[in-house]
Amino acid sequence: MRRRPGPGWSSAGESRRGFFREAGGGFGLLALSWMLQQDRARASSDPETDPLSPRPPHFEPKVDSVIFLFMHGGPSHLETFDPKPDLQRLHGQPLPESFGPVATRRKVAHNPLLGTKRRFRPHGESGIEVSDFFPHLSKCVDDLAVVRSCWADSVNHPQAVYQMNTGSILMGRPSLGSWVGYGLGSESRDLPGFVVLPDPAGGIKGGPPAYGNGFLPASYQGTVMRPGDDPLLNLRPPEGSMMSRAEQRRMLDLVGSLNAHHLESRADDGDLEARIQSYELAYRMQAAAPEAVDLDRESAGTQRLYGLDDPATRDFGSRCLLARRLVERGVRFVQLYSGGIVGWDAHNDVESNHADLCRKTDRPVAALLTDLKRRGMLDRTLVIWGGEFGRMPMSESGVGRDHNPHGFSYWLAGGGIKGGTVHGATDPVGLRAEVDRVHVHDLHATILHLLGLDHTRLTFFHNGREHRLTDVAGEIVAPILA
Amino acid sequence: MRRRLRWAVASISIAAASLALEPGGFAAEQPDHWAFVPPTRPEPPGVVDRSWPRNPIDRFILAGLEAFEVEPAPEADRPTLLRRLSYDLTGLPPTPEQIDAFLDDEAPGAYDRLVDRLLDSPHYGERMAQHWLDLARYADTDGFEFDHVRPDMWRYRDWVVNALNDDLPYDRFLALQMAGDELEPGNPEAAVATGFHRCYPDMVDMNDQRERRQIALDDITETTGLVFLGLTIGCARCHDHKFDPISQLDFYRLQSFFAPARFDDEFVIARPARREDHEEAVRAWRSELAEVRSALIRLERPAREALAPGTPPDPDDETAAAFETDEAQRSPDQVRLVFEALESDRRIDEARLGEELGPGRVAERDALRGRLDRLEAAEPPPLPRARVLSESSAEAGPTYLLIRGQFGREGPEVRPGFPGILADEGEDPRISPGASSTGRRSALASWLTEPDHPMTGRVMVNRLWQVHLGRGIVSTPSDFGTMGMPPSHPGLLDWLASELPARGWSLKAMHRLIVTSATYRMSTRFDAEAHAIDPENELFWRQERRRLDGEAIRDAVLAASGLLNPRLGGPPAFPELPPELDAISREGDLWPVSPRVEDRNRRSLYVFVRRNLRYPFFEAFDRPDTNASCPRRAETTIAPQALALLNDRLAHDAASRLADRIAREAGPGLQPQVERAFLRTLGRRPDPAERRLAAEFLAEGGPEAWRAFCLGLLNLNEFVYLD
Repeated sequence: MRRRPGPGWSSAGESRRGFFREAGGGFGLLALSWMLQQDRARASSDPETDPLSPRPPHFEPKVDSVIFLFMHGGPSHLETFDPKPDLQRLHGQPLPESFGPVATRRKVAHNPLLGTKRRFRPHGESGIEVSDFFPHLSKCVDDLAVVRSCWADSVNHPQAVYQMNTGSILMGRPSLGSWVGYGLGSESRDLPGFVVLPDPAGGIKGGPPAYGNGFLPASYQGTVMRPGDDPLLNLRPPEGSMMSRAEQRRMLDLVGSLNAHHLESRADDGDLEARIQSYELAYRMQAAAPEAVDLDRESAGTQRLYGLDDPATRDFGSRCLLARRLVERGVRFVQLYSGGIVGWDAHNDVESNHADLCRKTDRPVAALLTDLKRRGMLDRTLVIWGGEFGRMPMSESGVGRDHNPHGFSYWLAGGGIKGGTVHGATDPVGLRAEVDRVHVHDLHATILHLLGLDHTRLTFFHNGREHRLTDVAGEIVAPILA
Repeated sequence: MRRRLRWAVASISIAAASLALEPGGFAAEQPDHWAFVPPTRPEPPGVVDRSWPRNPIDRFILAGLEAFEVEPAPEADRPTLLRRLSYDLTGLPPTPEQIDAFLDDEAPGAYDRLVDRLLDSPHYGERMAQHWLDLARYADTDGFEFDHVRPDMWRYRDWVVNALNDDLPYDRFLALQMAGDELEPGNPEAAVATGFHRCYPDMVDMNDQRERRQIALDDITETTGLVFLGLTIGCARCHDHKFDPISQLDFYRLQSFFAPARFDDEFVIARPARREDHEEAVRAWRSELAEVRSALIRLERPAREALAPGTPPDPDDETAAAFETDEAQRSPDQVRLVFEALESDRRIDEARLGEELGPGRVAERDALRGRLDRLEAAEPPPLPRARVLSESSAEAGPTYLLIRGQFGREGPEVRPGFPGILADEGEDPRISPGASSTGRRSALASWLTEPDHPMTGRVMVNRLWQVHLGRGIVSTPSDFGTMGMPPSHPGLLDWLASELPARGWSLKAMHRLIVTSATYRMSTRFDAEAHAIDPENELFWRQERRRLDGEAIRDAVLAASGLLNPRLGGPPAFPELPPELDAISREGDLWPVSPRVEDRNRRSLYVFVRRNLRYPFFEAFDRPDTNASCPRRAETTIAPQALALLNDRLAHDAASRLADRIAREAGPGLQPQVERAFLRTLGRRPDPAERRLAAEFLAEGGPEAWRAFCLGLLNLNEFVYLD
């Protein structure tokens, strides 16, 4: 057996990266034996033992992967994608009686209406109006289908975050990414199928259940990845461990031999075989995951495109670029969060809050669309932008806006999407979705449809009944489909 | 000849299920779904091979095997049995001493003595509690946005452990969790048991607090149906059950047993006498505080009057009232208000006050202040508290059926009632209100614990069977309805269900019965002929090989290395998180790592259960998310599990400690050391091939080789699987 006296893991930083490069570059004999073992395991195991093996869709899919840009906190449609001349006109006046009672989080129903300070202009051939918060993204409008008539069921963050991710306002249902993993498996052999890239500024309101597997098997839960040396948990021995890479290889070899010996009298057991195989995968992930998140491998031009040269856009740009690299490597579903604990939750001052977050995200999002397109990947990828709800036309504390699940905007781009489309409309002040209303269930049904999955047939039996992402509802939003 | 199993009962159930789909009057058409008929005690069947059965269980199993001409697997060898029993009954591996003692015990009854020893171990209750807490959706936090800590939830967890260790009869175990406050009003410990119904996830800041309560009641109703009735009654919240004869009315009638309950988060666990003692101690402490403060006020008064006469400016209403009250009449609280107002009087400079007082009075004052500091630090510790259900009145408000299950859409008023399919015609609950409670929940408990209740016994014995045979006789343990799986051995299920009350509802007796059967003692050995006839092992022709759950794997890693702290009970422990999660754990005390290492190494049962941050090691190994009752865990095999055991600090620390321990315990010599390492991790001695592999590995690699070797052992398939 060929062994390299490679650097120990116990020293930090550079030597670790060196190890990963080395491990990624050339596999030794041991790796070869793992490969052979893996082939054997594959030949003998049925798909049941590998929950992530790819499965055929219900029908021909338009896209293979999804990048969901989740604007956490609830971005205002009134400052972004939904121009409302009547709201400008009625600025400072109370909401007309004709609108009836309004459910709100913070009792803003009787506050004066708040016009936006943003200017909307038509862009592209389609002439879709977008606010001046998005100088970069507005150049991509001909790729977008903007849905201006979304609605959801809860005025509260956690319930709304859960609903947008799992279809239900209750805690603990499987998330969209988990359902997709359950339906289609994963194309990537050495990376998780459903990756979550949280905002480093902090938690999602409602926490990890937003990307949890719920009652689906744990292998479908979203896996948090971070840029840098430690993209996944437990990817290398702990700090201070004296175990070198060579020793790990030798140890894995011993484990393999003892497991093989153990298996001799238990040859019928597919689970034992599968576990041997999972060690092979883990071994490869140790090299594959750091490689996937290594943005230094991108050209200077690409890095600039995503705004990695600008402190304001570096963070979100890095994650957008990372999302593209993951999709490129077969990851099925990537969810990026923009906005920390407060995020887009602009109760106090919608102008300053959104100015800051739009500045941080506009260039990276436009870069993602541009980059996917020039690489020919946009045709097979679905990009989704939106939050857990929109915001109220009435003011809060003068210049802020409260939560609004009754009407808000989303956009979708990529394979199967009819670019340059506007679908649906809110009422004249942007309070409620009014024309061609699109509920969260309808959005989910449409996303699954583009992935080749029929939302009424993607079911899982749990506690007495078949469950669906879309419960007993969901209509595909056909007009935005190409 | 290949024959696939076809159980008569299966086809009956399926026919019944299709009847249920007919609209209207399903209950009348489908009264004889097997689970809704009370169990009759069947006679164990006759068998040809009279030598195999060890107890009546085996006659049921063997009759099935003989009917299909399948041979039962031979008995497992002794080390295998010991390891299986130790994990099944205590969740911990046997020690080398226990292994040798059992292997050397040639006298008859060695196995039974082993079973008794394990059932008597306090770790038995810990292991069984883990299974129960999965059903109870136990967590130490609320979930949702804020995920607040429930600081006293663990007292319910400890109640479960103690009840199981004390072998509290199952009927009482059930009844106390339903209505401990009503059944034993003088015993506050009993109220802790109702914590079962306080484990639901909760959005504390919901806009409409009545809606919040309704969601909790829905959860309680659904969980009661799943756990005790084995019925998916939650499906009938919005409409009549699609498949089972459960109406929406049944759902809300069941809910109305719980509707009068108060959700008390700070119930004081103390009997009246202790409560009085405590109140007396607090009173005494307060009056002594007031005495010292009054003395300070009197001592300083002349000096303060000289410097700044009158009451300090801008007192709040309460403080002003306190100043106006005659000094002798002031309550201790008023004394405190006056004292604090004077202490913070901005008109008076501390140094000037000292001068005005003069050295003698300053000395006197300092002595009093010292006494005050000591007193303030000596507050009598608060009485323990718990999250419980409680009631304060014999009257109950109305419960309404909610149209389509929607909050606010009240339909007709409903009264407490048992699900129609399970109750006799016109059988109304006999509810006797107590002095300060409606008696509703105790009426529910008493119905549930009737010895011939069609569901209670069957559901519970099936859960016990699942613990020991890997799969229930009914493989959908919380769904005995028509959409659940029919029992593979209906006679055995009913026999066990009748045995439970006959044995005084003793769970330990039932465990003993199952694990001393020949069925339990079979090996997991594969048999091509048996497999051809019964590939799913529905007949139980062999034991099921089972992977340990994440909690047991962590406990095993700690136990093998000697790091395990076996202390029982108490507040939750916070082991270290992987460094990648450090930032999260430091943020706002989300995960305050236990300062003492021995606390971090407590059993997995005690690891803090945060809904929004599952302990990653458990999460990788299929721990349920605790948001809904989990009757049977998923068992997946994924790469993050391998990464956790290969690279987590837990595994590395344990491997180092294990290597040290082996060197210490086995003394010099490679072979004795290898043998010891196998005993510690796999519960058996290595065979020649394994000795050779170990020797080759340890011959090179220097001083680190032993640690790597030990880490390797912790990663073996055999370490995480039970034969």
